[in-house]
Amino acid sequence: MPTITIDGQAIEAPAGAMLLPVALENGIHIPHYCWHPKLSIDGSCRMCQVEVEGSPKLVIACNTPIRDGMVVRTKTPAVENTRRGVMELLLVNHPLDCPICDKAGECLLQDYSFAYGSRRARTREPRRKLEKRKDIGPRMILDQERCILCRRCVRFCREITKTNELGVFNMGDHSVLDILDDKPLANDYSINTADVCPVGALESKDFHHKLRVWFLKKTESICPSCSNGCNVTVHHYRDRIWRMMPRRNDAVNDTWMCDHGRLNYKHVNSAERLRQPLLRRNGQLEACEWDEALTTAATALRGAARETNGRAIAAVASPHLTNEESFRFAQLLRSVGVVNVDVAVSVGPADHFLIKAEKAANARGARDMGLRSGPGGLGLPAILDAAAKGDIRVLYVCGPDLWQTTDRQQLEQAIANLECLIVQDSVRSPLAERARIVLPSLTFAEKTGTFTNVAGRVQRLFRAVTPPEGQLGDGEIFSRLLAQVTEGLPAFEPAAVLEEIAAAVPAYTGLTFERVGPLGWQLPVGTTQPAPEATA
Amino acid sequence: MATRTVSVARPRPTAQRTTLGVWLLGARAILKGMALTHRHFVRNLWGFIRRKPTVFTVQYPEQRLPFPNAFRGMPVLVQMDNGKERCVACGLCEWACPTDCITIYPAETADEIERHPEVFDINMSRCMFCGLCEEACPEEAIVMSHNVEIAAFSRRGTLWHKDDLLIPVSKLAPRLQHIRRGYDR
Amino acid sequence: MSQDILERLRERFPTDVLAIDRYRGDASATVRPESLLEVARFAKDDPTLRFDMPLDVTAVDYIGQEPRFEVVHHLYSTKHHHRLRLKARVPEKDPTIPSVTPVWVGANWLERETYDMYGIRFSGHPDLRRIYLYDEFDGHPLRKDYPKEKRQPLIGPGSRRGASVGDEHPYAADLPAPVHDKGMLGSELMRVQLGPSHPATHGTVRIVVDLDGETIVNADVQVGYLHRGFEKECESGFYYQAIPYTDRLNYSSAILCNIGYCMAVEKLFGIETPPRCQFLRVIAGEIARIADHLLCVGATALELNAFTPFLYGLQARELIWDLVDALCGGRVTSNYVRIGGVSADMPAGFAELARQNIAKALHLLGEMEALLTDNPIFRARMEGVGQLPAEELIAYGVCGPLLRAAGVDLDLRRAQPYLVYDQLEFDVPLGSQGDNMDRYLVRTAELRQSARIIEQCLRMIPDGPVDTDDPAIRWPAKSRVYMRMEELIDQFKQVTEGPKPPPGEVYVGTESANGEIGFFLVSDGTGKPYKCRARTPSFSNTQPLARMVQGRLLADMVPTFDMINMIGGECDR
Repeated sequence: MPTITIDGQAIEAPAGAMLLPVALENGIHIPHYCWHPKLSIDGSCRMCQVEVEGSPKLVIACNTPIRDGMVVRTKTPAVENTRRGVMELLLVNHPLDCPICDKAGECLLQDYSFAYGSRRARTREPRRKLEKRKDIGPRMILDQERCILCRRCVRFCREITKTNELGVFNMGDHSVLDILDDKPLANDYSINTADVCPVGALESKDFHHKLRVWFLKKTESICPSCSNGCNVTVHHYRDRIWRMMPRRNDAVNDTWMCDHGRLNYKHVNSAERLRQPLLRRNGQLEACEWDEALTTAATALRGAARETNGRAIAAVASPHLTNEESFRFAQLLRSVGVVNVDVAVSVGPADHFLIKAEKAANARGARDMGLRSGPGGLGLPAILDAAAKGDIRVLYVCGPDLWQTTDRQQLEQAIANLECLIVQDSVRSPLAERARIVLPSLTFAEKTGTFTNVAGRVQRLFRAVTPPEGQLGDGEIFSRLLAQVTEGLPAFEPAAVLEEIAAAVPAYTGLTFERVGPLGWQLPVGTTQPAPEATA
Repeated sequence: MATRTVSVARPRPTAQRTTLGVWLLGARAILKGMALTHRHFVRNLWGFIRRKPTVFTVQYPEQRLPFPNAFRGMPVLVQMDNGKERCVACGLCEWACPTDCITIYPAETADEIERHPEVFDINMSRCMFCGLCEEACPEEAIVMSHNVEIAAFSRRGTLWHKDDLLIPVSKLAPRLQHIRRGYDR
Repeated sequence: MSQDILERLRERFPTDVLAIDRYRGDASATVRPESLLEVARFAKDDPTLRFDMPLDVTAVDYIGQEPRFEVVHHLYSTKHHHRLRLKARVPEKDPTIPSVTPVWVGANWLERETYDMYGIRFSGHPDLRRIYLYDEFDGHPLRKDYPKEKRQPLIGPGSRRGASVGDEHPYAADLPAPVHDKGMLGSELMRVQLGPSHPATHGTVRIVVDLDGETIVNADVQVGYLHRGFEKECESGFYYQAIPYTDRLNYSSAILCNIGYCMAVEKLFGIETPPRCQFLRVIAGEIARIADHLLCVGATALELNAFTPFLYGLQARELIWDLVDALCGGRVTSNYVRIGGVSADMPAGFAELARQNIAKALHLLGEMEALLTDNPIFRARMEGVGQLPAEELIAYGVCGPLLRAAGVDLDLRRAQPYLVYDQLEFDVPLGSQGDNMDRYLVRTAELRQSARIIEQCLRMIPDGPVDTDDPAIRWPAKSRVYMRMEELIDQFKQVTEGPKPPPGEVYVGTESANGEIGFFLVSDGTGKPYKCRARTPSFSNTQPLARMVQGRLLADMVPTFDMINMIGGECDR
């Protein structure tokens, strides 16, 4: 492999690679605006200029392929001067918007000006006037004055979404970023342009004037909205989610995520959340203590199990539970001999990029953990028919997908003859209104665990938001129920349960939380299969 | 460098004197002291009689002393001539505050200035009047006033909201002048 | 020279000295913990080293590293006027290190504080118990894994664990056993408590005195009633947010604490402030020193029941406060000095006001002295009371007017000049006997010297910039922030991320009103200090109080304590 030297450090790099990504991957920071690892090279910002021995002028590192023996210097006076000059020119027309701009605190213009720019401004307000606060799409706002014309957003719309909404109009000093009047920035991935924009020109409406970024804490997680499992970072402050942003994972989602998934966090802090278990007493659902709710559920399960060998119990699992929670659920169901198990998943439209048909993160994982019908057991929709006939006495439903995907009448008929309907969900759904026992569930942002995406990749997520005191969490609920129907209380600690999974499920052999790592662990092909409709 | 050490002058030791000498020395010291205090007393009494007081004490609250321009009383928000706050909820004062006594909820406006604080609360019981908020503000929107008479009858009374904090810019001219002149180089 | 100190140590202990460092000119040596006592003895006894004064003992919690804790000793030599930092690492599982109290008796309280805050045990320490916090306190607050917001259970009378009426006092458990059982006449000793609220001790401190009649047999001085967690608070904020907290260390002369802290941060950056700034700092600092000494003398007079000089002193302080007010906007909480500069230049007419007010203050001081110095009652209470030999004071780490009253010429403005003190002409008053009378005379004389310094500075102060020109260190000028892009950006970055000194550690000691106030800062390269230690003179000065009054009458406790000038904020941080 060719070897180059940057600031005295010898680095091996593949032939043909560009200098900038090679430097960045080896921890050498070269400031840049227009270059992006997933977009084509532009070479317009001129910020990444460095000195290369043998070249009379400075070269831009983003478009300079490496050569064996190349000697690069990034800390010389010429480079420092050039950076200062580039910064000054970029700031000449930049409005003094920092106090009102959302990007403050994560703005590359601020960062590089502070680090490499000049100390004293030679120009002052006012700046040239362009359109501010322009509504360019259902989820995006454009401020033309702030744009530094790096064209990352233009390339994104051209190369990634292939929708071409954004463009730079006019030339030279009159250049301005804009959309065409009749074509708003409305594609399913529009908010990614706010991610790639190095300044506050493109802003997401959802986060506009909400909170300053320096308050936000960041936790790595996985998007719960479909089975693609885009890697995300949950940004939270005081136990409330303020936004989600994609995390780079070249095997799953590159540096992107869809708008729907990005905005699908509001349910976590919703006032509609179920926080306490409910029991039906005298025909009404009333709040109760955990012990009472769990004992009632365990009694119902044990009773039905004893008399019918588990045949009269059915369970519908949730594709929103983590692998660890699903595993515990499967253990619980096995312990009372339940064979009528299935996972209910909402499906919807998919595209050729990131959006998948299964609208939940862990349907595959739930099935891998054993939440599928056992020998002689029923799956969906057979479970509902059997329940309507009266063959099912206890139905344990997790998650909202059953009532979301089933015809209302069919559902009513199915639950009419049940002795005990247990519903475990995060909100009080219409199905929960019919239940005898309602158990509050946690959302993705409140759990630590793993999801398995549609392609068989096990990815980990961490708790970002602490639920209010008193909420047990699904894994703990299943563990306590298991303790009541069998002996001993298996503690629910996600990393430990993952090791149990590794021992019990052949495809997951050898997995630990550390091995999953920040970028996930791909299960060997063919070991487990997604459901047919998942890849529609 | 021109420094030197010197010994302090102790009063003359009494051990060498006779008992009478010691008593006389003591009496002299006491008389000297009493002469001093009596001088003050007479002068002040005369000033009181003439109604031109010479005492140092200020009869607060009937009399008040003027504060210097630099004085840091409680922080207030600058109100522009159109009645709106100058603050654009940038959040720097909230972040700079060492005691975390400022709470700001930013929101969008329909005006030319697109951002403003929907909520701007200062917990005055936590505020230590250090002035870092004023130093941090890039809009000259929060300044230290000369108001220190802010006692309240309840805890809730120490929480000041945006409307309580607004002071018209015309009343704040000396302070604004001080900020611009004082922090310049 | 730091070169020689470290070479000498290395030469004598080739295997025990693990590392030496001279970052920013601070001589620093890391040694094996087992050999700490031997190295300490050598550092004290060796003629070329002669580190006779223990300035500070503290620890740094490098959580995640093993060994986790680094115990840091700062030493000073009153003979050679040089400094040394001795460090040793102890592991998390068994954080034990030999105590250096056999070498320097003043390490006693300092080690107790380190034990209290970090849980490090000092083997061989005569009395290792908590000093600031109560015994039932759960945990060691300065450890990095102790969350700042952690709540502690309530204790004491009124709590569920408290004693009921009629039980022995619940706090009796934390007192040491009496030294002697029987007094002179065969009677029992009486245990009396001064404080924590006592009309004759200004400042909050609890002194448990064992009396034989009126004679003090033993006194246990318990500090910590004003402990507010200065260090923990500074670690959780940026460097610039710590400055108002330094105001609250020595609140009688807050500007001197500001100066010490900002000089330490500037040393981390390796920068010098412009000349005008240095003159301003000296002027402001000396004004604060005048205020502090006035308070000390006035309060002493008050507690000896001379109310009038106290009020004259307060009147003088009002005039001084007017100066501080005009300069920085606060009388007590000044918040004047900034990292890389000061918050504002002198306002117009300040020089004239300063001359006027200081002249009046000195006149009032003259009146106070006329009432006190020759007064037989005052003399009887102060002369010959509260002495300790100079060597013992040095071994306790005592410095400032207390030490100078005992005849030791140690004034950092002269011994290790900083700011512009080397360009100024002033006297350093020394006492001869080290009793309370000498301390009083040294303070009043110093006060007059401060006035002299201020006068010189007002004449000599050059024009020029008041702040460093580096926006990575000092916030840009406000009028430029309003109008200019680069300055606006710099303001944003500075406020939101703080100034980021390069990683390293420094110690800066300056002469505050009570002695050497030192700041030991450890930077990890971020905008928040990793460790922000304030070595406060009142803490070390209060330690020998028990020794000073041992064998004397209870009434002698009052002037001795007052002349030590224990400022609660400084002693307890």
